[in-house]
Amino acid sequence: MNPIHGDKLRGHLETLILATLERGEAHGLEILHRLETRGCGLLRLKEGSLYPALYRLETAGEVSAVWESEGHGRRGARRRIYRLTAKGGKRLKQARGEFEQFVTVLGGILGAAT
Amino acid sequence: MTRDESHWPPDFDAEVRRLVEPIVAGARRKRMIEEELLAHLTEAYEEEVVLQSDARAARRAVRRRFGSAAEIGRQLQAAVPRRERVLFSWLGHMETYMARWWIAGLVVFLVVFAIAVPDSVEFSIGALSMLVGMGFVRACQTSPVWRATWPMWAGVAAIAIGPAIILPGLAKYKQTGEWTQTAGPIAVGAFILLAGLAVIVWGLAFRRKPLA
Repeated sequence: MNPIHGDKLRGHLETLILATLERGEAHGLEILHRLETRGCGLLRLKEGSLYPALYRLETAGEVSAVWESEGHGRRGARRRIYRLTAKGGKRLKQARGEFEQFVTVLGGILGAAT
Repeated sequence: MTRDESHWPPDFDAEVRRLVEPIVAGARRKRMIEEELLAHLTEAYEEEVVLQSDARAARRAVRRRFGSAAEIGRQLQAAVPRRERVLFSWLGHMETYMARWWIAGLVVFLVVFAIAVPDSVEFSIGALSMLVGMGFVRACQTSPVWRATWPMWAGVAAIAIGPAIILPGLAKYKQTGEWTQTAGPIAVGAFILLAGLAVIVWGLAFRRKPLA
């Protein structure tokens, strides 16, 4: 299978992040690792693009974030831990419904051609 | 890459600062983005340094993974809430205008002060000269045109100031016939005048070099 690059993910990244956070709170790099694992290594996302998406979700109130505690046992800068909010959960549910419809419609069209 | 690659932890600070600095947003948000990106890059580096042959390759891999700084910068800017973007863009402009108004107010005050209190003329001229000097240095720092032509402007200023010191000194000598009181100012004026000429000559020579 061919890798899926960032351009193809446009418009879906925020929903993918919400789906990732449904499994539990995580910091940026952990979210990326979860996406990589669940995408079977086929998602090719530029890591820097994750943060603007996270900030948009935070502004929209769909995720909340806290700084990790001081005694995080790591060197250097602190990470922010993101959590799905109730509003984010609702959006995720809605996006799943829309995506299922999208796949059904396009799958029907593309499947009919083969 | 000119930095020492062997030191630990990897110094991504400057790169992150360059990325975040132009973003129009509140200082708190910018600090937050800076720290979070720094934590990300450091952790990514820790992963890569295990996988790659050396620190240099690990850095390259981290940058590749992270993506184009220009593109990420644009995305980060777009992620700043509109009201915050508008507010800080406006505040940025206000800061510039306020600085200008502040300087204009100071100049007006010094001129009025010099007129109202005749004994303060020298003080006001000195303060105005300092303001002009500060403006000149600022212009040389920010404008490429001023940076390229500063020797000429500095030279012209020195040529104007030098005789302004020499001529009253010579007039005083003519009146009193005493060198002891006038030699000092005349020497200082002559030094400024010659320095101005030297700066202009040096500036012209300096400008010719890149053309040769």
